[in-house]
Amino acid sequence: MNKNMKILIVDDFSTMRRIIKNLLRDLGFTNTSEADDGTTALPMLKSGDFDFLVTDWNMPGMTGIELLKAVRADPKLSTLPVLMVTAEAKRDQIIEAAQAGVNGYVVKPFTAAALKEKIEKIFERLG
Amino acid sequence: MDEDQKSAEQSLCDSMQAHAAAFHDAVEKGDMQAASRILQDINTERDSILYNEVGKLTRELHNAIVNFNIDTNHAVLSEQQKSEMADAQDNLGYVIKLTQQSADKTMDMVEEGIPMVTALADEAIELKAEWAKLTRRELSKQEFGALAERISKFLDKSATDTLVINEKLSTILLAQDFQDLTGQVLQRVMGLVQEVESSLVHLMKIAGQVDQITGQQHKEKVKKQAKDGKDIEAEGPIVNAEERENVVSSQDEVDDLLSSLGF
Repeated sequence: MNKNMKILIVDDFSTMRRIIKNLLRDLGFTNTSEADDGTTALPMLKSGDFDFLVTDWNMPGMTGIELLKAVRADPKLSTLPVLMVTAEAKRDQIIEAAQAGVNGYVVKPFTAAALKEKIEKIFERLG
Repeated sequence: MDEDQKSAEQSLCDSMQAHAAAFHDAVEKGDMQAASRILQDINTERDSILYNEVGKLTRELHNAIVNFNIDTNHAVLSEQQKSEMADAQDNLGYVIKLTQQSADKTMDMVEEGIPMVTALADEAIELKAEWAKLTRRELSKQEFGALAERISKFLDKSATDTLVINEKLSTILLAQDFQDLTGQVLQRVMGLVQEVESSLVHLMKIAGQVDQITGQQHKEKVKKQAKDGKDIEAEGPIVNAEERENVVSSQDEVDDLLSSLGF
């Protein structure tokens, strides 16, 4: 796994972005950027060469699931690995995210170990 | 209230019966003037009972709205006259502010503290290796002199840095005070929500009585089903995951669900 890969963290709460950023740094990933919802994240993804997207679901403007669908619909971004980190825990939602092509799903509150495991699993699968 | 209404209905019934008998007599006697006067009396009595009831309900409705704590005139109120609803909004804003401050302060301290601890640990590990060399008599006199100086510097740095780290830990501890403060505020807001709920129930009862008196009937509203294909709405943290069937309560359940979908 390339520790220098460029990661975009999308969450409307700055506290949560900071927590995820610190956890990623502990895992050795320091090349991170932040956005506070899908509307700001999508142009960043389109113009920047991001390797990995970590997004919340429930955000004002454009939600995480809408962002995921937009990413999958964009020919340039369609293969971007996406990890959803969210408090949304309804079965229907997890199924919807899976059908929309999410690569991993972590429910809040989560542990550093859970985040690490999911990220490793995603990149193991992608080879 | 129900008692009042029953007695009102009873008295209306009694007077109707009395009037009916008189009306019957008048018609039998062929006194059409008296008969139509009795008919008018019946109407007047019915109307006055209706007006009485509507008046009573209006008063209750007014009281219920006053208890509802909604300011109907928000714009012209001064700071002190703000309704409890506006107050609750401020209170919840305060909760967000305090929790944000606390999280920021804690993370500042951790971010500043981690490099200090890491530097101390790194130096300690290196010194330990040098010290082991010394005990094995592998150091020259010159190297020993350099080591002694390094150890002296390390001890100085340890003394000052641990004090700073200690301070940061105390700050983190103190930053948790938000729990107490926000807890109190949230309890107040919960109390208000309960009051509003009981006022609403009261309003609904009154509305029911108004319908009863005016003889209105409403069609049962059909609950709208979520349309197929439409995005599922986000709900935020599930506060009662154990009591609900359609939600997962742990990361393990998420993983199980995903693996059942072929993930």
